[in-house]
Amino acid sequence: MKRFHTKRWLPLMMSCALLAGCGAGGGSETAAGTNGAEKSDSGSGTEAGTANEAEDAIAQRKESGNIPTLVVAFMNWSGSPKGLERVEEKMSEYTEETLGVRVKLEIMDSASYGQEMTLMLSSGEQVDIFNTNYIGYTSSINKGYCMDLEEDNLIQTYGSGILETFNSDMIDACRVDGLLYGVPQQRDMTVGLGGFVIGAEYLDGIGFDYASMYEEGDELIYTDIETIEDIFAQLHEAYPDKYVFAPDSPNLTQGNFFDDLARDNFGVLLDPENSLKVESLWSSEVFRQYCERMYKWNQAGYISKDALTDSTAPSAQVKAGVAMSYMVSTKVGIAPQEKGLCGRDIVVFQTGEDLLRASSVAKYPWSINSMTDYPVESMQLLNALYTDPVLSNFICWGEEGVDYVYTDDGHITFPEGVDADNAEYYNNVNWLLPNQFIAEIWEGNSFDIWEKTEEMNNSGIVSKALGFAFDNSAVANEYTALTNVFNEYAFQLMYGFVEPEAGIAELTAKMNEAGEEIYIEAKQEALDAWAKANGVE
Amino acid sequence: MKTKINKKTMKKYGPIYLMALPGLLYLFINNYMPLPGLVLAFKKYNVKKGIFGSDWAGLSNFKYLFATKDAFIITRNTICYNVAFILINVILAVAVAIILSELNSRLKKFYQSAILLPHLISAVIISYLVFAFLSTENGFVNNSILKPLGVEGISWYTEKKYWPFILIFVNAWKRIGYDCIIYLATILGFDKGYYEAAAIDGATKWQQITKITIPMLKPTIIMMVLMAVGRIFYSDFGLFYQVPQNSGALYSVTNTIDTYVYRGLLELGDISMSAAAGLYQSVVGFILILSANLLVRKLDKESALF
Amino acid sequence: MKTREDRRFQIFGNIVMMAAALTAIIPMILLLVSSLTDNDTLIRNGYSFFPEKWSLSAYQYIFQGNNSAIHAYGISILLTATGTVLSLILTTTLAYALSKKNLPGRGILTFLVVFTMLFNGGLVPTYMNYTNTFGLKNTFFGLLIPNLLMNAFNVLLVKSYFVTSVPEEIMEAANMDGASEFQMFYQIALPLSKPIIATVGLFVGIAYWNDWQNGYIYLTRRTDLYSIQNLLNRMIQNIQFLSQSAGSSGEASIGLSMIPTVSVRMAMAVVGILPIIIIYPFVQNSFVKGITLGGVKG
Repeated sequence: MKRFHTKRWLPLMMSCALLAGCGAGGGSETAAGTNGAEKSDSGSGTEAGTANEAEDAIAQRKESGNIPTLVVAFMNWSGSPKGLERVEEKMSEYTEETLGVRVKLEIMDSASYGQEMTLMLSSGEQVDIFNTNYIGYTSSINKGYCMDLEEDNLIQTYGSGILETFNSDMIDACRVDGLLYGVPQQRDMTVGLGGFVIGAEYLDGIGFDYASMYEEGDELIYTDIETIEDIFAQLHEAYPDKYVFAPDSPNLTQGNFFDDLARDNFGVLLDPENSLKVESLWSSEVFRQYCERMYKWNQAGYISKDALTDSTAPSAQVKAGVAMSYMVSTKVGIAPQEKGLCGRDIVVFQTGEDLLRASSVAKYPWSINSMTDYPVESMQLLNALYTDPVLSNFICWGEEGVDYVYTDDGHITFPEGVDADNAEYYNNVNWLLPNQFIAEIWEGNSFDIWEKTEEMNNSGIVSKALGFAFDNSAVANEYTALTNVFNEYAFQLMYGFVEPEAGIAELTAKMNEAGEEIYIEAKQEALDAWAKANGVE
Repeated sequence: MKTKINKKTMKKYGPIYLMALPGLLYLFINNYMPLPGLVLAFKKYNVKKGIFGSDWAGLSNFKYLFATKDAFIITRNTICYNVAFILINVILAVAVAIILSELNSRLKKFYQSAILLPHLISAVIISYLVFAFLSTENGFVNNSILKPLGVEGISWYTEKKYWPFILIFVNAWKRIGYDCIIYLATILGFDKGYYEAAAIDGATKWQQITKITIPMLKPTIIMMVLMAVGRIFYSDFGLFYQVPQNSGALYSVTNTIDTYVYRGLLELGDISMSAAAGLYQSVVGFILILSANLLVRKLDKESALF
Repeated sequence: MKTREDRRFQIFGNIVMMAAALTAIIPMILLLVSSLTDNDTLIRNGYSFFPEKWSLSAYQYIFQGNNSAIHAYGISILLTATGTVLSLILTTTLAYALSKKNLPGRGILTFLVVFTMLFNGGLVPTYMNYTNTFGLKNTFFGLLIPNLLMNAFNVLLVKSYFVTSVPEEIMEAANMDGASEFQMFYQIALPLSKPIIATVGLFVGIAYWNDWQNGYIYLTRRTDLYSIQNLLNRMIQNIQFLSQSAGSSGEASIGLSMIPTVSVRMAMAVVGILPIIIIYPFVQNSFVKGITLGGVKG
């Protein structure tokens, strides 16, 4: 328990260096290593020269009056916001002045984003900068959507601010076959495993003293799974008509210590801290224990019999008073976030380690379209999105006075009469946008949320395969078959509806039939090649 | 065109071609212009090279449709359900149309509106309604029917033996009101003289139906069946994906070509592979409809589609 | 001249149809009731005909919030009206031509029409065609034109009706009298085919009314052009998508909780079918008129 705690307190200067906007690589005392520091040093060495070139380009555009409009695409939850054109106009006024470009935002809802972007990118419509979430980073590269950002030193010349924003190993984590096709965004990368959110009133009801368990400055309680099981048993006894636990599909990765290389569960690292051996998850101890626990909980009546088919979000179930707890992966600011979702006081527990998975940095990088007519302009705009707080505020929060106002203490919040339902620009996807760390902080979050997030990103267990991306196009047939098997058999096990021993045997057999070995082999081969190229042992 | 077009035929048929033109033009734009895109199914698509410049991939994009054991299950499910749907829907829709056409009741309009309703709501909403009936904890079937009978509740979404019936029922429930409109409209166009003559000859209602209505409906029925046969490799995605709530335990009786492709390609987003699936379905449908049409032509030339 | 047999048939028919109608309507009542149920009650107790707690908040959300359901209603109505009229013109003229038995090239033309029922270029090429060549993206035409404007199935339906129900003798007589082809189409064939035109009009109207795919694909920025079905489907698609995106971590759950509640979805569905329920009886009247006209011809 103590272990995680001390790690959090490692003094790191990174975040303040960033907020002050000065040179990069400042305090990378962690695994970042010397190699990273060297690289950013050389970057800052040439800074003066490149800055001039970049400024010249801007001046030239403004002089010639040749101001291009750049299209920036990303997803949100509810589709194109109502205030889009207004925000675009405000943003463009600003960028015309500072960068000599205008901005058009294509914001699409999550369900249509993947398909719509596939259509737009493959049909050659104008998209200059895009986020790869739900399109898939590797498959975007594979289909030729992403530009090599280092071609002609593009990013070094016009995007040095991006390179300075991150440790160089964060940037390197986005490389595929040595080439940089995208850059990460500033967000929580390390996740706390095995987080449980439990309604505070229920804990009060069983007389569980959680208040004394918080260590100073923490928003969540570090404990172990046995304590949770103990709480669950008491909760079930005290509130027999409520479900103790609402399972959800991401629980597998939220709750268990393994590295789902390339964000699929077919072939994982079971000991990501020490070994690069790709193994099947299904026959592993961690999966068996997980299934057994869920089976136990299900048998004990903790879980709704409709859990497999009910698509109500767990937090909505807690809000409605049907369920008492659910699982999350923790991050800084998790407690206020979940409290908001549940509409009641909650307590967050964490039972596992903090882990930085191989794919967590390059989960959904930002890329520049290979077909863009404006590579330099796009890179400059992207650079500004990472470094210019004014611009970051625009894209994250919209227009001051209309979409947000300042509170007395310097947070921001909705103006009078505006809420999440009728807001004209409220995407709630700042974790996806280039740099939320330099934007204003919403009411309810502490001012040091991003410093703490930086700390957490640098303090957890780091997967050896950090930065490995897997191009599965050669084994796409196996992938489709495996996905179907996963959907067919895994959820019943993961929600505890099937007796683990027989269920796992069946799942494993079906996975084999669907060619998991071939898939794992391909993954291992790619990982070995990657390790060799990057000097990882 | 092979026929020699002289002035006289031009004068006679010119206006007719002119009338056909707007419709044909639309089909050209909507259906024929994108057709060369089918070549995607044989390409490894790369945007920089464009559709036609991308590398050839041979038949590799089709492989995932055949490579695994699932291929048999999804093909079997797709075909069997479609055959069942065609049979049941035709029989029920024709029966309902005939009953409606013969009723004098004032409620006739009400009946007809009521049975059309299910067609008007989306599959997802239907899936909620089905869930309302079949949910294990709160479902009407378990709570209001089985419980009072002293039967223990059934976990519907994990018991696959019920699903062929549920799906056929839901499909009929959704489709009959819609399908019967075509038959009804056709029956209403029949010459009433036949019925009057038959009534004078003392034919019973049943005889009128079997001897007049059904034979006269035959061309329409054949046309409807033929068109359904052409789509036998397609499945109603909403019915097979949403209505069973994507429940894994039911896949062996609910997985069809469309749902398999959807699940597999959701995160892969491979347009070549989805083009391959579409082409496969089209080609099979095309062959089936051609052969079925040929068969119909042999038996009854008038009823053939073309 | 009501015979006993006829009366028996009437009773039997009414019983069967009443059963069918109830089967269709009972779930619809459930739909209506659940749209009026308090959302937390819905999650807690499931769907019920007699909910513990009623609530109008779903309808308030739809009509007061930022969702501009009324505006979307307007778009839906405009789209359905324009689409149905245009579609009927295209469909009946083409079907009329194909119904001419002696038309040179009729077989080929029919085949070209049937062919489109089976083959299409697929989503990406169709999209490229309409977006790059015709520039329909983010316009009203993007809702109107792709895929829905005319389909082969309806053409064949109307064609076979023309063939079977418009007697050749009448057409020939009109031809003798010097009627032009268009006059024969407009003054004879169309009036005699009211039932099928009402049918096809209904089909097309329903297809336009229920369509969400065109909006989903061709409208990315102009959400002010969203039809009522687009609004509904945006919610529903996102729910399905997010609950499917297994493997990705907590973000999907946050997304899920951002989406309007179950009762709102139900209310949207109710709002979506209401106009058709209102309009349908009028369409039915065309059937009745069709009968009387059909009677004359014998």
